[in-house]
Amino acid sequence: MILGRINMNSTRNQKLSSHFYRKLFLKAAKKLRDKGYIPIELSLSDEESWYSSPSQNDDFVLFEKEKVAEQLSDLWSSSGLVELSSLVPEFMHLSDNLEFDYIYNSEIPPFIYVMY
Amino acid sequence: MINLLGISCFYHDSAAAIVQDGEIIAAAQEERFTRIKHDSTFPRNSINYCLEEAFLEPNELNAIIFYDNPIYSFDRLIKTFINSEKSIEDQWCKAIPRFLSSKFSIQSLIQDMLNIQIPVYVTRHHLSHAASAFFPSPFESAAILTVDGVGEWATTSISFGQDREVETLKEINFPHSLGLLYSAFTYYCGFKVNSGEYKLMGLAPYGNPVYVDMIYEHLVAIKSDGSFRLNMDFFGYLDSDYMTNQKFHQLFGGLPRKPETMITKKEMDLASSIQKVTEDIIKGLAKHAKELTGSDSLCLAGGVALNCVSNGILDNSKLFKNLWIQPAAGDAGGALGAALAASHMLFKIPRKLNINKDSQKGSLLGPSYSTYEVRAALDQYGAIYDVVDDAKERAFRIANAIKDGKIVGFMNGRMEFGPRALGSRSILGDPRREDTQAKMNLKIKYRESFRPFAPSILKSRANEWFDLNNDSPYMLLVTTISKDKRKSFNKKELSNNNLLNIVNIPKSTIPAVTHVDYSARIQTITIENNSEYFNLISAFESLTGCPVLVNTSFNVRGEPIVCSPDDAYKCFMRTEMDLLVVENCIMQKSHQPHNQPDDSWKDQYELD
Repeated sequence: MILGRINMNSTRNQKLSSHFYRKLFLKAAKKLRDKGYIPIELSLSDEESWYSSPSQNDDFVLFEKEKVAEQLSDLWSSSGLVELSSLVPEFMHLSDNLEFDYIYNSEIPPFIYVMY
Repeated sequence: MINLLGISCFYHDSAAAIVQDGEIIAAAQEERFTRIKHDSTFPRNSINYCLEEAFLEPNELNAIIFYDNPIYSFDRLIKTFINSEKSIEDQWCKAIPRFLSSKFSIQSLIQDMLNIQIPVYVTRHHLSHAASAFFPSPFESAAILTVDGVGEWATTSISFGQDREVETLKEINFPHSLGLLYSAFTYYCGFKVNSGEYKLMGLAPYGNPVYVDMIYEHLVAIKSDGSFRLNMDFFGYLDSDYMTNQKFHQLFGGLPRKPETMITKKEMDLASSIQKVTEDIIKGLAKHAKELTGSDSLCLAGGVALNCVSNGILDNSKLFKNLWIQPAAGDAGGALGAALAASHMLFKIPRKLNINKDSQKGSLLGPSYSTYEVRAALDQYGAIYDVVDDAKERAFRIANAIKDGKIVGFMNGRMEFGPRALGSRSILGDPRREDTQAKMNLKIKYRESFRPFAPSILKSRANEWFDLNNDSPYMLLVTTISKDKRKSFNKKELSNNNLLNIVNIPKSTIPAVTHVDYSARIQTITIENNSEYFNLISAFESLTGCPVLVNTSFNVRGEPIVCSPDDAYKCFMRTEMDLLVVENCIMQKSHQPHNQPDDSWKDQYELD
């Protein structure tokens, strides 16, 4: 059955990602939650659910991989999320070490909306 | 001349589009070339095609625009993982490598493929959708509503478009998403997420909206300003591989329906209920867009804008005088929107507005094939065909075959951009015959479908046959068939669990295109939009008095719509289609060598 292109490096990618998750991410996430940080607004309160318009500076951004680290770092630092901004070099290291992962449809269950 | 290439990929349906000085030149989805349905990989083939169509070398491009900002999407992804207190390492190991190695590499992927250094811009996902809806519309200014699953953080946006600007006014953010709510019910009813939503919509007329109160009580809170929130206690998509969770299953009395098992009254009622909720939410959002903008015109895009039942209700509500919906409303259309947005808003190209006609060019933006290419493709199979150069003779010959009950594969001109076949890559039949629907389903599509097919009708005759307010050139509005064309039938059949008994009861003088509630997903045809198809329907009308044809996409179940003459011939030979028309070549199945149906495609295409 032809579902996508085979990724020969999925095992290596999996190992690297798993290591990152266990050694770095879980700690940072717990720290943030312990500080009372709410990453996603889940409340069903009666207040309106609209957010005001995004900045027009974001309408068109020149995208260069070398600047991704800086942009992510700025985004998280400006929200006081040091736990995340300090992980940016590690994310970039992970990104550099992953083999290009062709979208392999069968890895994604057909029961989920693809959000990444 | 400013040449801009828009790209969408790495979510669902990847695509590319080229815009020259603000004019749409070409657009195509990658799945049509790779033959992988909903292909989300980097759109290498689509980019090549767009450059060819525009007669451009890569170094003649001024910029490339990606339809989504990877920084904000990554931010949402990471924060979704932070939100989960339980370990979701499995999801992390799927999501993170895919994201980091694809979206963050978009610039190098493009530059490696095209072998040039070129500015690569990223824009916002919902701005891409909004631009795809406003700039091709025939409106000088308009409210714009975009609704989908999610893009970066936004799931819904209201914008205002005027001249060459689109200003986003308000957004609703993830996880509160109408697209994801609809997908959750799609999954629960046993259909595939991202592709089965239209089946759920087609199932809704069989049911009663008995679960609406339950949905409002437990799942969705709608605010007075049209915004909404979902109660995430009932959904699984934040921390699992499923859209719904145990609590959702308990609420609706059982586990999700297993795919391919019998559809029961419960699924029909759930479909009807979530459809009603969707319509309520869309009406509320549109009302707020009207309040914010004061506009008489509305443009729609985003995957939810493919819900043509909801579009029809919005159209009938007369909330807005004018409505225009981007035919490639899903993510593929984001490529076109990104290029259009940059063209007008970044490169300041003036918008050439024609208030009498949109600039989507009938959405016929894909490849076409010369008669030489067609014959070369057919000859490699030893196909037996007649060349009929006279357009009128061709139209009458095909129309006669359809009148005699033949099913026709019809390929002409440029391929459609968007999920609907609009008469360039279509399978056609006689809507008056009681056996057409069953024949097309069982012998062509190889499915037992509960959904009727769509009618194509000459625009000039649409009001005689359907209750239609606006033009519907892109098959994006559902309306009802005129009362004098309806046939009464025993509604008690609707309480029956066996859908196929109901499907085969004739409900109008054109039963193949009439749903149980007398609705139809209508396409109006003009000579300007597609002259070959217009001529064919006109010929059919002059033979039969009926200006309607059954139009379904030229593919088998699970296969992307055919693109090339090669695809068309292979699909023709795999099925029990009677006649194939590719440009000026007409061939009958009975004359072809090896004319036994071949079911090897079933190993190639995954069922949708």
